[in-house]
Amino acid sequence: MKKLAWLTLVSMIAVLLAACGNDENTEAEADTGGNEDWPETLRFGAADIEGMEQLHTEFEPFRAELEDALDMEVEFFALSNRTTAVTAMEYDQVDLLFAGGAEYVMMDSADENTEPIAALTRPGYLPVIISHEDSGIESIEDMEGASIALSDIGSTSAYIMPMKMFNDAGYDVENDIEAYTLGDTMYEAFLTGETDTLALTALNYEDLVEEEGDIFNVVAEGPALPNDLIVASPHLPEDLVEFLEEKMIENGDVLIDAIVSTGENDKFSESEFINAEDSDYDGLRDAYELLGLDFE
Amino acid sequence: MYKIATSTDVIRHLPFEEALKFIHDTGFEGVEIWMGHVHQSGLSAPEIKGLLDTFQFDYQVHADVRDVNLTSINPGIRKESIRQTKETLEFCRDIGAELLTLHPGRMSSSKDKPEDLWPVQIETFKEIAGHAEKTGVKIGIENMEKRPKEFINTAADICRLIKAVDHPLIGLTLDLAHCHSVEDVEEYIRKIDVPVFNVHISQANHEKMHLPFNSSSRDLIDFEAVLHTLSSTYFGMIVNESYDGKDPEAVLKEAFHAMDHLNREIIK
Repeated sequence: MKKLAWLTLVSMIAVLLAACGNDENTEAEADTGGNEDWPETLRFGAADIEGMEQLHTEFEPFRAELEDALDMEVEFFALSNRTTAVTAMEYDQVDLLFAGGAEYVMMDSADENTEPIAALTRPGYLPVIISHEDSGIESIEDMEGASIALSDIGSTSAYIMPMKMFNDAGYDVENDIEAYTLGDTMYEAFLTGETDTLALTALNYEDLVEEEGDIFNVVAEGPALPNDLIVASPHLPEDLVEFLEEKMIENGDVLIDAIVSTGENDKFSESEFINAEDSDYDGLRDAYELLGLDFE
Repeated sequence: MYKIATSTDVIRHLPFEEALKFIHDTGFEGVEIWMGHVHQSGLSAPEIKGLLDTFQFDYQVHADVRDVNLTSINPGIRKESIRQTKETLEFCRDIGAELLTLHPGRMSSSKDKPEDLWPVQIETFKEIAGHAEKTGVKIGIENMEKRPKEFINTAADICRLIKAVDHPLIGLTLDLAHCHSVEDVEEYIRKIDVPVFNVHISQANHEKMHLPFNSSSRDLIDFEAVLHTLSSTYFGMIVNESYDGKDPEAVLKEAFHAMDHLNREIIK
Protein backbone atom coordinates (compact mmCIF):
# COMPACT_ATOMS: atom_id res chain seq x y z
CA MET A 1 0.00 0.00 0.00
CA LYS A 2 2.87 2.35 0.97
CA LYS A 3 4.59 1.48 -2.29
CA LEU A 4 1.47 2.40 -4.28
CA ALA A 5 1.15 5.75 -2.46
CA TRP A 6 4.80 6.52 -3.15
CA LEU A 7 4.43 5.71 -6.84
CA THR A 8 1.33 7.87 -7.05
CA LEU A 9 3.19 10.76 -5.41
CA VAL A 10 6.15 10.37 -7.79
CA SER A 11 3.75 10.29 -10.77
CA MET A 12 1.98 13.44 -9.58
CA ILE A 13 5.30 15.26 -9.15
CA ALA A 14 6.37 14.15 -12.60
CA VAL A 15 3.12 15.43 -14.12
CA LEU A 16 3.47 18.73 -12.26
CA LEU A 17 7.08 19.14 -13.39
CA ALA A 18 6.09 18.36 -16.96
CA ALA A 19 3.29 20.90 -16.76
CA CYS A 20 5.71 23.57 -15.44
CA GLY A 21 8.10 22.68 -18.21
CA ASN A 22 5.30 23.07 -20.75
CA ASP A 23 4.42 26.50 -19.43
CA GLU A 24 8.01 27.61 -19.85
CA ASN A 25 8.06 26.20 -23.35
CA THR A 26 4.83 27.97 -24.23
CA GLU A 27 6.24 31.28 -23.08
CA ALA A 28 9.39 30.70 -25.05
CA GLU A 29 7.36 29.76 -28.12
CA ALA A 30 5.21 32.87 -27.76
CA ASP A 31 8.36 34.98 -27.64
CA THR A 32 9.91 33.47 -30.71
CA GLY A 33 6.85 32.74 -32.79
CA GLY A 34 7.43 29.00 -32.63
CA ASN A 35 3.90 27.62 -32.26
CA GLU A 36 3.10 24.61 -34.37
CA ASP A 37 0.10 26.01 -36.20
CA TRP A 38 1.89 29.24 -37.07
CA PRO A 39 3.19 29.53 -40.62
CA GLU A 40 6.96 29.25 -41.00
CA THR A 41 6.98 32.31 -43.25
CA LEU A 42 4.61 35.25 -43.04
CA ARG A 43 3.38 36.34 -46.49
CA PHE A 44 3.12 40.12 -46.31
CA GLY A 45 1.39 41.98 -49.15
CA ALA A 46 1.67 45.70 -49.79
CA ALA A 47 -1.14 47.28 -51.82
CA ASP A 48 -0.64 49.91 -54.52
CA ILE A 49 2.99 48.93 -55.17
CA GLU A 50 4.04 48.46 -58.79
CA GLY A 51 6.39 45.51 -58.83
CA MET A 52 9.26 44.10 -56.79
CA GLU A 53 11.68 46.89 -57.58
CA GLN A 54 9.47 49.56 -56.01
CA LEU A 55 8.67 47.23 -53.10
CA HIS A 56 12.35 46.53 -52.48
CA THR A 57 13.28 50.21 -52.75
CA GLU A 58 10.56 51.37 -50.39
CA PHE A 59 10.18 48.58 -47.87
CA GLU A 60 13.19 46.19 -47.69
CA PRO A 61 14.59 47.72 -44.45
CA PHE A 62 11.10 47.45 -42.92
CA ARG A 63 10.84 43.78 -43.96
CA ALA A 64 14.23 43.01 -42.44
CA GLU A 65 13.40 44.87 -39.22
CA LEU A 66 10.06 43.08 -39.00
CA GLU A 67 11.78 39.70 -39.29
CA ASP A 68 14.01 40.66 -36.38
CA ALA A 69 11.09 41.91 -34.30
CA LEU A 70 9.00 38.79 -34.87
CA ASP A 71 11.83 36.28 -35.14
CA MET A 72 9.98 34.87 -38.15
CA GLU A 73 10.68 34.86 -41.85
CA VAL A 74 8.72 37.53 -43.72
CA GLU A 75 8.15 37.37 -47.46
CA PHE A 76 6.87 40.50 -49.21
CA PHE A 77 4.54 40.63 -52.21
CA ALA A 78 3.88 43.71 -54.32
CA LEU A 79 0.17 43.99 -55.13
CA SER A 80 -0.53 46.57 -57.76
CA ASN A 81 -4.04 47.59 -56.80
CA ARG A 82 -6.66 47.29 -54.09
CA THR A 83 -8.74 44.64 -55.88
CA THR A 84 -5.74 42.32 -56.11
CA ALA A 85 -4.94 42.95 -52.46
CA VAL A 86 -8.45 42.29 -51.23
CA THR A 87 -8.78 39.15 -53.37
CA ALA A 88 -5.40 37.83 -52.19
CA MET A 89 -6.53 38.18 -48.58
CA GLU A 90 -9.91 36.58 -49.24
CA TYR A 91 -8.33 33.52 -50.89
CA ASP A 92 -5.58 33.04 -48.27
CA GLN A 93 -2.73 34.06 -50.60
CA VAL A 94 -1.30 36.53 -48.07
CA ASP A 95 -1.18 36.52 -44.24
CA LEU A 96 -0.73 40.24 -43.66
CA LEU A 97 -1.51 43.27 -45.74
CA PHE A 98 -0.28 46.82 -45.50
CA ALA A 99 -3.36 48.63 -46.76
CA GLY A 100 -5.47 51.74 -46.70
CA GLY A 101 -8.75 52.08 -44.84
CA ALA A 102 -10.77 51.42 -48.00
CA GLU A 103 -9.12 48.03 -48.50
CA TYR A 104 -9.70 47.14 -44.86
CA VAL A 105 -13.40 47.96 -45.08
CA MET A 106 -13.73 45.76 -48.17
CA MET A 107 -11.77 42.86 -46.64
CA ASP A 108 -13.72 43.02 -43.40
CA SER A 109 -16.93 42.97 -45.38
CA ALA A 110 -15.78 39.84 -47.24
CA ASP A 111 -14.83 38.12 -43.96
CA GLU A 112 -15.64 39.70 -40.63
CA ASN A 113 -12.81 37.73 -38.97
CA THR A 114 -10.29 39.95 -40.75
CA GLU A 115 -8.30 41.61 -37.94
CA PRO A 116 -6.71 45.06 -37.86
CA ILE A 117 -3.25 44.55 -36.30
CA ALA A 118 -1.87 48.06 -36.01
CA ALA A 119 -2.60 51.43 -37.56
CA LEU A 120 0.02 53.81 -38.87
CA THR A 121 -0.81 57.38 -37.93
CA ARG A 122 -0.20 60.11 -40.51
CA PRO A 123 -0.33 63.71 -39.31
CA GLY A 124 -1.60 65.81 -42.20
CA TYR A 125 -3.53 62.90 -43.70
CA LEU A 126 -6.74 64.78 -44.33
CA PRO A 127 -8.58 65.59 -47.55
CA VAL A 128 -8.22 69.02 -49.11
CA ILE A 129 -9.95 70.46 -52.16
CA ILE A 130 -8.10 73.23 -53.98
CA SER A 131 -8.85 75.51 -56.93
CA HIS A 132 -6.81 77.78 -59.18
CA GLU A 133 -6.08 81.14 -57.60
CA ASP A 134 -8.07 83.11 -60.21
CA SER A 135 -10.94 80.61 -60.59
CA GLY A 136 -13.37 82.46 -58.34
CA ILE A 137 -13.87 79.22 -56.39
CA GLU A 138 -12.92 80.00 -52.83
CA SER A 139 -15.24 77.86 -50.74
CA ILE A 140 -17.21 74.67 -51.19
CA GLU A 141 -20.36 76.78 -51.69
CA ASP A 142 -18.83 78.03 -54.97
CA MET A 143 -18.49 74.51 -56.37
CA GLU A 144 -21.87 74.07 -58.10
CA GLY A 145 -21.20 73.03 -61.70
CA ALA A 146 -17.41 73.02 -61.13
CA SER A 147 -15.17 70.21 -62.29
CA ILE A 148 -12.88 68.27 -59.98
CA ALA A 149 -9.96 65.94 -60.65
CA LEU A 150 -10.11 62.88 -58.42
CA SER A 151 -7.94 59.79 -58.15
CA ASP A 152 -9.65 56.38 -58.52
CA ILE A 153 -13.03 55.28 -57.24
CA GLY A 154 -12.14 53.70 -53.91
CA SER A 155 -9.33 56.10 -53.04
CA THR A 156 -10.04 57.21 -49.48
CA SER A 157 -8.33 60.58 -49.67
CA ALA A 158 -8.98 61.57 -53.28
CA TYR A 159 -12.42 60.14 -54.02
CA ILE A 160 -14.53 58.80 -51.16
CA MET A 161 -14.03 61.47 -48.52
CA PRO A 162 -14.04 64.48 -50.92
CA MET A 163 -17.28 63.18 -52.45
CA LYS A 164 -18.71 62.83 -48.94
CA MET A 165 -17.69 66.44 -48.29
CA PHE A 166 -19.75 67.53 -51.31
CA ASN A 167 -22.63 65.42 -50.12
CA ASP A 168 -22.42 66.93 -46.63
CA ALA A 169 -22.40 70.41 -48.20
CA GLY A 170 -25.77 69.64 -49.79
CA TYR A 171 -24.71 68.84 -53.35
CA ASP A 172 -26.14 66.09 -55.52
CA VAL A 173 -22.76 64.62 -56.47
CA GLU A 174 -24.17 63.00 -59.60
CA ASN A 175 -25.52 66.22 -61.08
CA ASP A 176 -24.06 69.27 -59.36
CA ILE A 177 -20.35 68.39 -59.63
CA GLU A 178 -18.37 67.36 -62.72
CA ALA A 179 -16.22 64.61 -61.24
CA TYR A 180 -13.36 63.04 -63.22
CA THR A 181 -11.57 59.99 -61.85
CA LEU A 182 -8.10 60.27 -63.36
CA GLY A 183 -5.74 58.19 -61.22
CA ASP A 184 -2.20 59.55 -61.13
CA THR A 185 -2.93 62.01 -63.96
CA MET A 186 -5.24 64.06 -61.72
CA TYR A 187 -2.45 66.51 -60.89
CA GLU A 188 -1.59 67.10 -64.53
CA ALA A 189 -5.25 67.57 -65.47
CA PHE A 190 -5.70 70.17 -62.75
CA LEU A 191 -2.42 72.00 -63.36
CA THR A 192 -3.10 72.30 -67.09
CA GLY A 193 -6.49 73.80 -66.33
CA GLU A 194 -8.57 70.87 -67.56
CA THR A 195 -10.39 70.82 -64.23
CA ASP A 196 -11.36 73.69 -61.90
CA THR A 197 -10.42 71.89 -58.71
CA LEU A 198 -8.39 68.99 -57.34
CA ALA A 199 -8.83 66.64 -54.38
CA LEU A 200 -5.67 65.62 -52.52
CA THR A 201 -4.27 65.22 -49.02
CA ALA A 202 -2.97 68.15 -46.98
CA LEU A 203 0.55 66.68 -47.15
CA ASN A 204 0.42 66.41 -50.94
CA TYR A 205 -0.94 69.96 -51.07
CA GLU A 206 2.14 71.19 -49.19
CA ASP A 207 4.37 69.41 -51.73
CA LEU A 208 2.40 70.93 -54.60
CA VAL A 209 2.81 74.45 -53.22
CA GLU A 210 6.52 73.81 -52.80
CA GLU A 211 6.81 72.81 -56.46
CA GLU A 212 4.37 75.21 -58.10
CA GLY A 213 4.22 78.14 -55.66
CA ASP A 214 1.32 79.39 -53.58
CA ILE A 215 -1.07 79.86 -56.50
CA PHE A 216 -4.09 77.93 -55.24
CA ASN A 217 -7.16 78.51 -53.08
CA VAL A 218 -7.99 75.98 -50.39
CA VAL A 219 -11.68 75.46 -51.04
CA ALA A 220 -12.38 72.97 -48.27
CA GLU A 221 -10.59 70.82 -45.74
CA GLY A 222 -12.11 67.61 -44.37
CA PRO A 223 -11.64 65.73 -41.09
CA ALA A 224 -8.61 63.47 -40.51
CA LEU A 225 -8.72 60.39 -42.72
CA PRO A 226 -8.71 56.88 -41.27
CA ASN A 227 -5.17 55.59 -40.84
CA ASP A 228 -3.45 53.10 -43.11
CA LEU A 229 -3.07 49.85 -41.28
CA ILE A 230 -1.67 46.35 -41.17
CA VAL A 231 -4.41 43.76 -41.50
CA ALA A 232 -4.23 40.09 -40.52
CA SER A 233 -5.79 37.34 -42.59
CA PRO A 234 -8.85 35.69 -41.06
CA HIS A 235 -7.02 32.39 -41.66
CA LEU A 236 -4.28 33.15 -39.09
CA PRO A 237 -4.45 31.55 -35.62
CA GLU A 238 -5.78 33.90 -32.95
CA ASP A 239 -2.65 33.65 -30.77
CA LEU A 240 -0.47 34.64 -33.73
CA VAL A 241 -2.64 37.70 -34.37
CA GLU A 242 -2.22 38.72 -30.72
CA PHE A 243 1.53 38.13 -30.95
CA LEU A 244 1.75 40.29 -34.08
CA GLU A 245 -0.27 43.10 -32.49
CA GLU A 246 1.98 43.10 -29.44
CA LYS A 247 5.24 43.01 -31.44
CA MET A 248 4.22 45.67 -33.94
CA ILE A 249 3.34 48.16 -31.23
CA GLU A 250 6.34 47.22 -29.05
CA ASN A 251 8.76 47.71 -31.96
CA GLY A 252 6.87 50.62 -33.52
CA ASP A 253 9.73 53.12 -33.40
CA VAL A 254 12.32 50.92 -35.11
CA LEU A 255 9.79 49.79 -37.70
CA ILE A 256 8.86 53.40 -38.56
CA ASP A 257 12.56 54.31 -38.76
CA ALA A 258 13.02 51.44 -41.21
CA ILE A 259 10.08 52.58 -43.36
CA VAL A 260 11.37 56.15 -43.50
CA SER A 261 15.05 55.21 -43.91
CA THR A 262 14.70 54.56 -47.65
CA GLY A 263 13.86 58.21 -48.33
CA GLU A 264 10.84 57.02 -50.33
CA ASN A 265 8.29 57.26 -47.53
CA ASP A 266 8.68 60.73 -46.06
CA LYS A 267 4.91 60.86 -45.57
CA PHE A 268 5.42 58.51 -42.60
CA SER A 269 8.22 60.53 -40.99
CA GLU A 270 6.02 61.67 -38.10
CA SER A 271 3.99 58.47 -37.92
CA GLU A 272 3.66 55.92 -35.16
CA PHE A 273 2.13 52.48 -34.88
CA ILE A 274 -0.94 52.45 -32.65
CA ASN A 275 -3.62 49.91 -31.82
CA ALA A 276 -6.24 49.78 -34.54
CA GLU A 277 -9.93 49.36 -33.81
CA ASP A 278 -12.52 48.23 -36.31
CA SER A 279 -14.77 51.12 -35.28
CA ASP A 280 -12.11 53.61 -36.49
CA TYR A 281 -13.32 52.78 -40.00
CA ASP A 282 -17.06 53.26 -39.44
CA GLY A 283 -16.87 56.78 -40.90
CA LEU A 284 -15.51 55.31 -44.09
CA ARG A 285 -18.29 52.70 -44.20
CA ASP A 286 -20.83 55.52 -43.79
CA ALA A 287 -19.23 57.38 -46.70
CA TYR A 288 -19.42 54.29 -48.90
CA GLU A 289 -23.10 53.87 -48.13
CA LEU A 290 -23.86 57.55 -48.57
CA LEU A 291 -22.26 57.53 -52.01
CA GLY A 292 -23.96 54.29 -52.99
CA LEU A 293 -20.60 52.54 -53.41
CA ASP A 294 -20.52 48.81 -52.92
CA PHE A 295 -17.87 47.53 -50.54
CA GLU A 296 -19.42 44.10 -50.04
CA MET B 1 -22.55 45.26 -64.12
CA TYR B 2 -19.68 43.69 -65.97
CA LYS B 3 -17.28 45.66 -68.15
CA ILE B 4 -17.95 44.38 -71.68
CA ALA B 5 -14.83 43.63 -73.71
CA THR B 6 -13.71 41.52 -76.62
CA SER B 7 -10.62 39.67 -77.68
CA THR B 8 -8.94 41.27 -80.67
CA ASP B 9 -8.34 37.74 -81.96
CA VAL B 10 -11.92 37.45 -83.21
CA ILE B 11 -11.15 40.06 -85.89
CA ARG B 12 -7.49 39.24 -86.37
CA HIS B 13 -7.88 39.57 -90.17
CA LEU B 14 -8.05 43.36 -89.65
CA PRO B 15 -4.89 45.42 -89.08
CA PHE B 16 -4.48 46.12 -85.35
CA GLU B 17 -5.45 49.80 -85.44
CA GLU B 18 -8.46 49.11 -87.65
CA ALA B 19 -9.53 46.30 -85.33
CA LEU B 20 -9.38 48.60 -82.29
CA LYS B 21 -11.45 51.23 -84.10
CA PHE B 22 -14.07 48.66 -85.09
CA ILE B 23 -14.24 47.35 -81.50
CA HIS B 24 -14.58 50.89 -80.16
CA ASP B 25 -17.27 51.86 -82.67
CA THR B 26 -19.23 48.70 -81.87
CA GLY B 27 -19.52 49.88 -78.26
CA PHE B 28 -17.08 47.70 -76.30
CA GLU B 29 -15.45 49.34 -73.26
CA GLY B 30 -12.47 47.04 -73.12
CA VAL B 31 -10.20 44.80 -75.14
CA GLU B 32 -8.13 41.72 -74.52
CA ILE B 33 -5.16 42.11 -76.80
CA TRP B 34 -4.17 38.88 -78.48
CA MET B 35 -0.37 38.79 -78.65
CA GLY B 36 -0.53 37.09 -82.03
CA HIS B 37 -2.30 40.21 -83.29
CA VAL B 38 0.43 42.40 -81.80
CA HIS B 39 3.21 40.36 -83.41
CA GLN B 40 1.38 40.50 -86.74
CA SER B 41 1.02 44.31 -86.47
CA GLY B 42 4.74 45.09 -86.13
CA LEU B 43 3.82 47.93 -83.74
CA SER B 44 6.00 48.76 -80.74
CA ALA B 45 4.74 48.79 -77.14
CA PRO B 46 4.54 52.63 -77.01
CA GLU B 47 2.63 52.65 -80.31
CA ILE B 48 0.18 50.04 -78.99
CA LYS B 49 -0.26 52.00 -75.75
CA GLY B 50 -0.87 55.18 -77.74
CA LEU B 51 -3.65 53.50 -79.72
CA LEU B 52 -5.27 52.04 -76.61
CA ASP B 53 -5.23 55.44 -74.94
CA THR B 54 -6.75 57.06 -78.02
CA PHE B 55 -9.76 54.79 -77.80
CA GLN B 56 -9.83 55.02 -73.98
CA PHE B 57 -10.12 51.26 -73.58
CA ASP B 58 -9.65 49.24 -70.45
CA TYR B 59 -7.27 46.54 -71.58
CA GLN B 60 -5.48 43.34 -70.76
CA VAL B 61 -3.42 40.83 -72.72
CA HIS B 62 -3.72 37.20 -73.83
CA ALA B 63 -0.40 35.48 -74.48
CA ASP B 64 0.38 33.96 -77.85
CA VAL B 65 -0.35 30.25 -77.54
CA ARG B 66 0.75 29.12 -81.00
CA ASP B 67 3.45 26.43 -80.58
CA VAL B 68 3.96 27.53 -76.97
CA ASN B 69 3.89 24.79 -74.33
CA LEU B 70 5.03 25.54 -70.79
CA THR B 71 5.27 21.84 -69.91
CA SER B 72 6.77 20.59 -73.15
CA ILE B 73 8.94 17.53 -72.63
CA ASN B 74 11.25 19.00 -75.26
CA PRO B 75 13.49 21.16 -73.02
CA GLY B 76 14.25 23.68 -75.78
CA ILE B 77 10.57 24.31 -76.50
CA ARG B 78 9.82 24.61 -72.79
CA LYS B 79 12.67 27.07 -72.24
CA GLU B 80 11.55 29.21 -75.18
CA SER B 81 7.93 29.10 -73.99
CA ILE B 82 8.98 30.43 -70.58
CA ARG B 83 11.18 33.09 -72.20
CA GLN B 84 8.32 34.31 -74.40
CA THR B 85 5.97 34.36 -71.42
CA LYS B 86 8.36 36.54 -69.44
CA GLU B 87 8.80 38.81 -72.43
CA THR B 88 5.01 39.15 -72.68
CA LEU B 89 4.86 40.12 -69.00
CA GLU B 90 7.34 42.89 -69.76
CA PHE B 91 5.19 43.98 -72.71
CA CYS B 92 2.19 44.14 -70.34
CA ARG B 93 4.17 46.32 -67.95
CA ASP B 94 5.29 48.59 -70.80
CA ILE B 95 1.76 49.20 -72.08
CA GLY B 96 0.24 49.42 -68.57
CA ALA B 97 -1.86 46.23 -68.80
CA GLU B 98 -2.67 44.78 -65.39
CA LEU B 99 -3.48 41.23 -66.44
CA LEU B 100 -2.00 38.56 -68.68
CA THR B 101 -3.96 35.41 -69.53
CA LEU B 102 -1.87 32.26 -70.00
CA HIS B 103 -2.74 28.75 -71.07
CA PRO B 104 -1.39 26.08 -68.75
CA GLY B 105 1.10 23.60 -70.17
CA ARG B 106 -0.20 20.47 -71.90
CA MET B 107 1.09 17.02 -72.78
CA SER B 108 3.53 16.91 -75.69
CA SER B 109 2.41 13.43 -76.67
CA SER B 110 -0.72 11.44 -76.02
CA LYS B 111 1.62 8.90 -74.39
CA ASP B 112 2.55 11.39 -71.64
CA LYS B 113 0.99 10.94 -68.23
CA PRO B 114 -0.55 14.10 -66.66
CA GLU B 115 0.69 13.27 -63.14
CA ASP B 116 4.27 13.20 -64.46
CA LEU B 117 3.80 16.76 -65.76
CA TRP B 118 2.19 18.27 -62.65
CA PRO B 119 5.49 19.05 -60.84
CA VAL B 120 6.91 20.87 -63.86
CA GLN B 121 3.58 22.69 -64.38
CA ILE B 122 3.67 24.00 -60.80
CA GLU B 123 7.37 24.88 -60.82
CA THR B 124 7.03 26.69 -64.15
CA PHE B 125 4.17 28.83 -62.90
CA LYS B 126 6.08 29.58 -59.68
CA GLU B 127 8.96 30.84 -61.83
CA ILE B 128 6.54 32.90 -63.94
CA ALA B 129 4.88 34.26 -60.77
CA GLY B 130 8.27 35.57 -59.67
CA HIS B 131 8.58 37.47 -62.93
CA ALA B 132 4.98 38.67 -62.66
CA GLU B 133 5.88 40.21 -59.33
CA LYS B 134 8.86 42.00 -60.82
CA THR B 135 6.63 43.51 -63.50
CA GLY B 136 3.58 44.12 -61.27
CA VAL B 137 1.30 42.21 -63.65
CA LYS B 138 -1.36 39.68 -62.57
CA ILE B 139 -1.68 36.32 -64.32
CA GLY B 140 -4.95 34.54 -65.07
CA ILE B 141 -4.35 30.86 -65.86
CA GLU B 142 -7.09 29.68 -68.19
CA ASN B 143 -9.12 26.51 -67.66
CA MET B 144 -8.80 24.52 -70.88
CA GLU B 145 -11.37 22.73 -72.98
CA LYS B 146 -11.56 18.96 -72.92
CA ARG B 147 -9.47 17.94 -75.89
CA PRO B 148 -6.52 15.60 -76.44
CA LYS B 149 -3.31 16.48 -74.49
CA GLU B 150 -4.91 19.19 -72.30
CA PHE B 151 -4.93 18.13 -68.64
CA ILE B 152 -6.05 21.29 -66.82
CA ASN B 153 -9.75 20.95 -67.60
CA THR B 154 -11.92 20.52 -64.52
CA ALA B 155 -12.53 22.99 -61.70
CA ALA B 156 -10.53 20.65 -59.47
CA ASP B 157 -7.57 20.71 -61.91
CA ILE B 158 -7.36 24.49 -62.28
CA CYS B 159 -7.90 25.13 -58.56
CA ARG B 160 -5.22 22.55 -57.71
CA LEU B 161 -2.73 24.36 -59.94
CA ILE B 162 -3.50 27.87 -58.68
CA LYS B 163 -3.39 26.76 -55.04
CA ALA B 164 -0.12 24.90 -55.56
CA VAL B 165 1.53 27.97 -57.08
CA ASP B 166 0.18 29.92 -54.08
CA HIS B 167 0.97 33.46 -55.16
CA PRO B 168 -1.31 36.51 -54.85
CA LEU B 169 -0.68 37.55 -58.46
CA ILE B 170 -1.88 34.18 -59.78
CA GLY B 171 -5.60 33.56 -60.32
CA LEU B 172 -8.05 32.16 -62.84
CA THR B 173 -9.14 33.24 -66.29
CA LEU B 174 -12.45 31.44 -66.42
CA ASP B 175 -13.44 30.37 -69.91
CA LEU B 176 -17.15 29.56 -69.81
CA ALA B 177 -17.13 27.71 -73.13
CA HIS B 178 -14.28 25.51 -71.91
CA CYS B 179 -16.26 24.74 -68.73
CA HIS B 180 -19.14 23.56 -70.93
CA SER B 181 -16.86 20.95 -72.51
CA VAL B 182 -16.31 19.42 -69.06
CA GLU B 183 -19.61 19.67 -67.18
CA ASP B 184 -22.58 21.93 -66.43
CA VAL B 185 -21.16 25.47 -66.35
CA GLU B 186 -23.02 26.55 -63.21
CA GLU B 187 -21.77 23.46 -61.36
CA TYR B 188 -18.24 24.23 -62.54
CA ILE B 189 -18.46 27.82 -61.23
CA ARG B 190 -19.75 26.66 -57.84
CA LYS B 191 -16.68 24.45 -57.40
CA ILE B 192 -14.17 27.28 -57.91
CA ASP B 193 -12.39 28.28 -54.72
CA VAL B 194 -9.55 30.39 -56.13
CA PRO B 195 -9.65 34.06 -57.19
CA VAL B 196 -11.23 34.72 -60.59
CA PHE B 197 -9.28 37.49 -62.37
CA ASN B 198 -10.93 37.38 -65.78
CA VAL B 199 -13.80 35.74 -67.70
CA HIS B 200 -14.02 34.65 -71.34
CA ILE B 201 -17.46 34.25 -72.84
CA SER B 202 -18.68 32.61 -76.04
CA GLN B 203 -21.36 30.13 -76.94
CA ALA B 204 -20.49 26.42 -77.19
CA ASN B 205 -22.04 23.03 -77.64
CA HIS B 206 -20.47 19.80 -76.58
CA GLU B 207 -18.51 19.52 -79.80
CA LYS B 208 -17.47 23.06 -80.75
CA MET B 209 -16.13 25.98 -78.77
CA HIS B 210 -16.32 29.77 -79.26
CA LEU B 211 -19.50 29.83 -81.33
CA PRO B 212 -21.54 33.00 -82.00
CA PHE B 213 -24.11 33.90 -79.34
CA ASN B 214 -27.02 33.30 -81.76
CA SER B 215 -25.96 29.74 -82.59
CA SER B 216 -28.68 27.15 -82.66
CA SER B 217 -28.11 23.80 -81.02
CA ARG B 218 -29.78 21.82 -78.27
CA ASP B 219 -26.83 21.76 -75.90
CA LEU B 220 -25.82 25.42 -75.70
CA ILE B 221 -24.86 27.35 -72.55
CA ASP B 222 -27.71 29.03 -70.66
CA PHE B 223 -25.96 32.37 -70.08
CA GLU B 224 -28.79 33.90 -68.07
CA ALA B 225 -28.40 31.25 -65.38
CA VAL B 226 -24.61 31.13 -65.66
CA LEU B 227 -24.05 34.88 -65.33
CA HIS B 228 -26.49 35.02 -62.45
CA THR B 229 -24.38 32.40 -60.63
CA LEU B 230 -21.11 34.06 -61.60
CA SER B 231 -22.26 37.47 -60.36
CA SER B 232 -22.12 36.29 -56.76
CA THR B 233 -18.32 36.01 -56.97
CA TYR B 234 -17.07 38.03 -59.92
CA PHE B 235 -17.42 41.62 -61.08
CA GLY B 236 -14.86 42.62 -63.63
CA MET B 237 -14.20 42.41 -67.32
CA ILE B 238 -16.02 39.83 -69.40
CA VAL B 239 -14.32 39.14 -72.71
CA ASN B 240 -16.05 37.99 -75.88
CA GLU B 241 -14.41 35.13 -77.77
CA SER B 242 -17.25 34.19 -80.14
CA TYR B 243 -16.02 33.73 -83.68
CA ASP B 244 -17.20 32.75 -87.13
CA GLY B 245 -14.79 32.88 -90.04
CA LYS B 246 -17.56 33.71 -92.55
CA ASP B 247 -18.42 37.17 -91.20
CA PRO B 248 -16.37 38.01 -88.09
CA GLU B 249 -17.48 41.67 -87.94
CA ALA B 250 -21.18 40.72 -87.93
CA VAL B 251 -20.54 38.10 -85.23
CA LEU B 252 -18.70 40.68 -83.12
CA LYS B 253 -21.58 43.17 -83.38
CA GLU B 254 -24.05 40.46 -82.46
CA ALA B 255 -21.85 39.47 -79.51
CA PHE B 256 -21.88 43.05 -78.21
CA HIS B 257 -25.66 43.23 -78.31
CA ALA B 258 -26.05 39.84 -76.62
CA MET B 259 -23.55 40.73 -73.87
CA ASP B 260 -25.05 44.19 -73.37
CA HIS B 261 -28.51 42.65 -73.03
CA LEU B 262 -27.29 40.07 -70.51
CA ASN B 263 -25.48 42.78 -68.56
CA ARG B 264 -28.51 45.06 -68.40
CA GLU B 265 -31.20 42.48 -67.87
CA ILE B 266 -29.49 39.80 -65.81
CA ILE B 267 -26.73 41.51 -63.86
CA LYS B 268 -28.14 45.09 -63.64
